[in-house]
Amino acid sequence: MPIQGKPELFVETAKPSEKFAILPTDFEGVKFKVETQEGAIVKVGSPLLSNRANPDMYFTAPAGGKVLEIKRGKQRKLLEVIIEKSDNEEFEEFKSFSAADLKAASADDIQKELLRSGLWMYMIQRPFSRIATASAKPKSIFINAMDTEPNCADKQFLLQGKENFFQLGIEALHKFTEGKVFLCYDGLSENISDAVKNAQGVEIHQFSGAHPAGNVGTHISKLDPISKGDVVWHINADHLAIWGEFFSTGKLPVERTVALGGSQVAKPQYFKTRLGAPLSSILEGNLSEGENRILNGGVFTGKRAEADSFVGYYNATVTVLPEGQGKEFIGWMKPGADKPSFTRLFASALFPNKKFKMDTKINGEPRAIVATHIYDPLVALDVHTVFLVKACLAKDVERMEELGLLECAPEDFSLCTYACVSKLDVNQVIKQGLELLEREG
Amino acid sequence: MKFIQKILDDLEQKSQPGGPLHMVWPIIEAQDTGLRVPGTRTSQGPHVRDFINLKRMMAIVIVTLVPCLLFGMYNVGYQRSLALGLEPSFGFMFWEGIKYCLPIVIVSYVVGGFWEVLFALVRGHEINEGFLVTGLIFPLTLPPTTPLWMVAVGVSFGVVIGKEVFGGTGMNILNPALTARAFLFFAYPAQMSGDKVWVAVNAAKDSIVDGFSGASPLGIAYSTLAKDDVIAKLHDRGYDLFNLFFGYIPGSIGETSTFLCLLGAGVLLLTGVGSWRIMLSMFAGGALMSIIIQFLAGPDSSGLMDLPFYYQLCLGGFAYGAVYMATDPVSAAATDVGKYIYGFLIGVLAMIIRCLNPAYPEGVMLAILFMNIFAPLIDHYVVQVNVGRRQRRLKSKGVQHA
Repeated sequence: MPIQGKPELFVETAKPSEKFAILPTDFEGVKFKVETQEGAIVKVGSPLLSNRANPDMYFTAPAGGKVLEIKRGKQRKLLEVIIEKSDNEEFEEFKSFSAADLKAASADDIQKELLRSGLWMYMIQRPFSRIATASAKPKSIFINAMDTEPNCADKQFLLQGKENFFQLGIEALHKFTEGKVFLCYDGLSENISDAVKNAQGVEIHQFSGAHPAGNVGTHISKLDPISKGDVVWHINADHLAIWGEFFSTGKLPVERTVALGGSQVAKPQYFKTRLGAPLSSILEGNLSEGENRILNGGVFTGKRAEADSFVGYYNATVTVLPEGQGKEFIGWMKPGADKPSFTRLFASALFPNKKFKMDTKINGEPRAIVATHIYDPLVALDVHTVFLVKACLAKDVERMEELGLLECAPEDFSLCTYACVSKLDVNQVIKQGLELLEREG
Repeated sequence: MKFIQKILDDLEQKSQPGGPLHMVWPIIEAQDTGLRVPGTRTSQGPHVRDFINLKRMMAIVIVTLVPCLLFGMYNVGYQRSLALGLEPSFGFMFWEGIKYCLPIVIVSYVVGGFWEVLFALVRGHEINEGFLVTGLIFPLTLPPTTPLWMVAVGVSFGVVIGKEVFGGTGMNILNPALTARAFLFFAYPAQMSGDKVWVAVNAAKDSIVDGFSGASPLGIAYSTLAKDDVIAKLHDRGYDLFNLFFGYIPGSIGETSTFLCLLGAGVLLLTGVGSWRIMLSMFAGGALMSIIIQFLAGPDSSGLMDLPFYYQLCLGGFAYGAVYMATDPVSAAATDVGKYIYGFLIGVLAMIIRCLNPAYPEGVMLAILFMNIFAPLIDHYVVQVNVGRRQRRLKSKGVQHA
């Protein structure tokens, strides 16, 4: 993906800030119960919200101080819980585990601390890409130490200096599964961290190539594909290192490194900041003029965020893109040296190494699906995309399952949506198919 | 420029639901998006999109068809001048070509476009760019002598029965242009086949040179016996391999030049628009089957059976079919493996029909239509392999647990 704005491997400390927040919208499919109230004094790691479906699962405070605001949107949907940090913030105490402790502990003990601290949510479960069900027995666990989404944080870079924490995290994973723990990373990366090189007790696999080689869906499909009734868990390598830090210190680790990328960023680079920090602390003075779209995440999977919002729970990347402006007169007839495309239909094909500034326009108009050969080369899963998409559109639950929808997550089809000639949002189709299958399957 | 933009904005405004021009919104949408790429923004991830759209894609197909059309016009004039025994001059040939071909193309676009727009208005869907290709592919498959009313009837049948009754673009089973062509072939065989239609002359009005027959190379090869050297017979009439390959032969307007079709194929493959799987496997299937048929040909078989494969592939619009017709993504197989099978069988069937069934020299057209019908079946089995793999995995898991 030839898009401008790759973050330089250079870390700057973000501007200090007073307010920190958790964004309930990061946790899709969760129904929340509010465990605090505006004005209450909380410590780092104190419960703010809990999960109605699993009352042991807490969403906790990223900073110590006063609960400033519980922000709600339409239909009282929870949007943000904002904390005003006090000068001498206190930390909630959790049980700490050494490597030996982890070996001796039961899965329940470890899970209890993770659930209580608000860190459990880093573990995701497939099928359906939900927060892992603590009681489930996954057949395997995947650690993803790579990311091929354009301009996203380099996980190897995030892992530097966290070797011990990372290994400690791996020890815990063995408690949760009797199957294998896989660690997947980009074998061609220039800076492979020691954490990955020296990892013990995992089955290591190298993936390389363009997106979606770095998607965990790709790894699962190649190494241990999901059948009906299977459960597979996966966690990002940087998140696992946070778990390790938590085990080691007994406190909720709040320090995070966030990559800031995209063509609207003056200096794309990394920032040392905190969990739930305000976006303004890294964006201020660093953006180009104009109407911008700020994303919590990358250009494919990022969520739209307002400038006064906060860094999301999961994402180690913040991207800023220019919003598309107006119609382009005879745009589709121009040679298009500035128009990148997977087809080689524009003059841009003559500059294979050029990086382009891309905005948020869909660059066309929705049409019936005609070009059926575009999708399959862009999907790394063992599915026939066109047929799967049609089954989803037809809401044929049985057929979706036969065609392998359980192995899929919407993010695995990002490139299809990106490249679709008929401007079909394949991600959305797959997402709706999965929701239907989850309800009825 | 601002002025035009303003008019367009105004029209678009009026075509919104509740506006005075809402009745005809597909027409306004078509002209508006034709002139300006919409400014629609992505609402969620992926937040950036490729610059490709259907207009760009269809435009490139039309661009690659233009050389076929231009050469076709020239060739129509050239064949006419040969028949009339005239000294061929470039201007004459081209002008004669335009006189015969342009009306056919215009009628195809106007009548076909009428149906396309009518269905878009009644059904309330957008006007699809695919018709711009259909509307040009179809006339290029017609003999230059086709009466214009027949062009109109044919394209109407193709668009309405071949496409719209199935629900419009993307849902049709058959290639609309070929459906139209096949309809005319079976409904009006006298005007669509035989020895009289391929050269644009009128026996009643024009003074034709002695010994002119107007038979196409396929017709000549068919009426020769294998024991009489068929290649020599073709050469006698001036149909050597050079002329066959470059298209200086009587035939339908745009399909005679294998060279230009391959040139178009080159562009389509280079830009990633056409399917190399279908093209390659269709040529492979055609070559293989014609070698087999040549091997089977006895001394008393038709000379058509005795032609070497490189002659066969240059004849009867094989290349045109492979590059522009078989690859229509809507009516072709959609899976990669399916595409190989689909293309290969078209090649094989085209040769079988052409050589072994004397009634239908139009082997390529019938083979593609036949495989259009089978494409969903091929896809079904290819997809079932994938489904089966999943079910076997599930089964073996069950065994492990038990």
